[in-house]
Amino acid sequence: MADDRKLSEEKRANLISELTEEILDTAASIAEPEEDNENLANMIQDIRERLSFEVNVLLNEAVTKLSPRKALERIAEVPKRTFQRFGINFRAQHTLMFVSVIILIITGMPLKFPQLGISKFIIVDLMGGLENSTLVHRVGAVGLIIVGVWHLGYIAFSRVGRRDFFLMIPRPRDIRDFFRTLLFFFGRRASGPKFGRFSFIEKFDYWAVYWGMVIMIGSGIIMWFKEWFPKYLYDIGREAHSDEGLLATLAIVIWHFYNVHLNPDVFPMSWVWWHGKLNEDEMKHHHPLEYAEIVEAESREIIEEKDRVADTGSGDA
Amino acid sequence: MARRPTKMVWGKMVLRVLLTVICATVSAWGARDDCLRCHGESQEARASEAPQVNLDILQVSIHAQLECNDCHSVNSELRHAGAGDVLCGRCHMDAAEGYAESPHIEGREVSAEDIPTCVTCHGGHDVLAVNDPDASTNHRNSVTICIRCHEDQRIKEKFEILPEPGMIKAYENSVHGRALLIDGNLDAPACVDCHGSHSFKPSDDPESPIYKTRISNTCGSCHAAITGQYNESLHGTALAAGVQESPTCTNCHGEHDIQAHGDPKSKVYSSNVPKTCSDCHASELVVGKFGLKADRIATFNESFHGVGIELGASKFANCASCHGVHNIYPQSDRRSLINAVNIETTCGKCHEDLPEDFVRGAVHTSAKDKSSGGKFYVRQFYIWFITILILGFVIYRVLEYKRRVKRVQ
Repeated sequence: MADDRKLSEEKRANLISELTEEILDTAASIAEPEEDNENLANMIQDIRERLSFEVNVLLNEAVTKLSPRKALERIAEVPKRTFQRFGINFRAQHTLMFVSVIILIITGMPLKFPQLGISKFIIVDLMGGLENSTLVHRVGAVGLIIVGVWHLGYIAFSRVGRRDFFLMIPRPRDIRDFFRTLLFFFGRRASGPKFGRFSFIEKFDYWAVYWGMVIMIGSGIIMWFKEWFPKYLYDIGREAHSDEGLLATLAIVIWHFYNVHLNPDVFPMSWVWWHGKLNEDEMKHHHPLEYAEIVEAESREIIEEKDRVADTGSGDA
Repeated sequence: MARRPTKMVWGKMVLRVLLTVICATVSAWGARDDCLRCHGESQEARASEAPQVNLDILQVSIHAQLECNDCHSVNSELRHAGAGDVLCGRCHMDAAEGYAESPHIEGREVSAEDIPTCVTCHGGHDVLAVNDPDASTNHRNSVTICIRCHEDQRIKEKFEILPEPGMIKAYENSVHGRALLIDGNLDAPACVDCHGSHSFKPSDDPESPIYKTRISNTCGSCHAAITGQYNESLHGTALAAGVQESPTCTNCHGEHDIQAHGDPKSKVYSSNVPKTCSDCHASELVVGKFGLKADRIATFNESFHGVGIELGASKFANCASCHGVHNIYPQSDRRSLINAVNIETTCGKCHEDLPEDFVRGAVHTSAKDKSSGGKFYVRQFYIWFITILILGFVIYRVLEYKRRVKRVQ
């Protein structure tokens, strides 16, 4: 991509020097009284067209940078092959989840810190009072509960979901990977461990959400339907909801936002949540074992296909 | 408040009428014309240096029928030097008696010319009956008279015991002041209704209507039912028993700046109640002296009710919602709203669906206190859990970042 940009910059530089020459020529021709006006008009028209072309190129680049659709098209243009990491079902779950969680954090966190000015701003000025914000919080809660049930169905009934769930189960290898990563960080190893489809970090993220969902939905239901429970359980539920909510918010802001927003590799945002694709480089870098498996499986298929063709060929002969 | 006729002893009243009649008869022997020779509006009088009397004003005053020397003590031998003495007390004995004992008299020692006399408030030749709408001492106008001196910075500097300017003026924006001055509701109290008029006393005088133990009765002259409730309540009985720290009306409602309880500026507006109660119930002095529980306000603020109040939700329970307003009793008292026999009804005011089990659960518990049971341990767990995890996240990121920088180099 860097090469592409360089190319277009060269092209632009050329165009600008051409334009400059033409402007100088035009100036010279104006100085000559015998040049006719028609020639001049043509030249001005020409300059105008070239200028508008230049502006278009600039605008196009800006739009491509900002628009996810154009970004997708650009990725599609890249001749390298892509790998579909997350299917549409999984991406939809994630989208519903983050929309719900953002709603829940905005309407929930102010209740943990009611003295703060920003809390009062959000609840009183933005939401128009606690009566409204608690209602919005319940809407977010329903969203989160739906995601929870949906995901349980997904890992039970979808083939991909089931496969991914089993790959998510922590193994001794993950502990080893963790310590290898630390050794790598301390410079005791030249490279970090090689990961399969899910690294130990991703497994941690996944199970952290599991834990969080159980605590938040469980304690939330106790508070929502407090008439079904004794007071001390309500008190425990409220404390747990409040503290786990803070933990979840901090984890999302410090851990997850770094992964998908602040990390220099993906800044300002990784688009994987939207298109679910990794390119070959990313695949090799982040999930080398999975990449190796895929490539091996494919080459095996190709070899088998060749053998089959060869077999049938010899059979014919 | 309805203006109550002053309780007068019949004998005094008869005496007063008699005196007036006698005075009028005696002076009717043409004394006025003598005075007006110099003090009137004739050519001759204008030439003299004597102060002139505007007869038009005098004619419409309540004293129009009186003669000059009914009020002015004239000593003809001294060519009435010292005629400044105005002799209102000759007829208005009660008022004069009360005035003679009021702090206004004491103030003469500091600065006599700044101290009000009868004329300062009632006017001179233009004096009108107190129930005349135009009288300076009319219920509604009397406020202006008091404020004129008591909001004067110059006078305040001379008399140190006076309250800061602004405190009294706050009355004009209070629920009482607005009712009287703006809405023209003559039942609303003016200064004199709480403080007394001629015989007013400072608040530290046990006879003053605004002495702490007498305030509830003073307010009760209009708010009788509430005073009845209060006098029987824990706060009322404690104060009557001599506990000076126990609050009376003004401790919760404010004084000059008192507002209706539905007004967000009111000290007893729903979301301001915890703050008002905390003046005593979170005060080391009061809590320590009477062995009260010190954490009541803090635990309330921690509760969901407290969070709601903090975020301005007026429908959320404040202290008074559960403990009562004027009818606060100790929890052990069967009349208390939080007594076991009443607690279900009390919670039921907002939470109809809460089962008995729930409402009998402990309240005013704090997760910071071991005795609160489960939620204490939940909080302890999360303090450690959050600290360790977040530290872990940050350390991991820092290490990763350092390694990345190293690789780039």
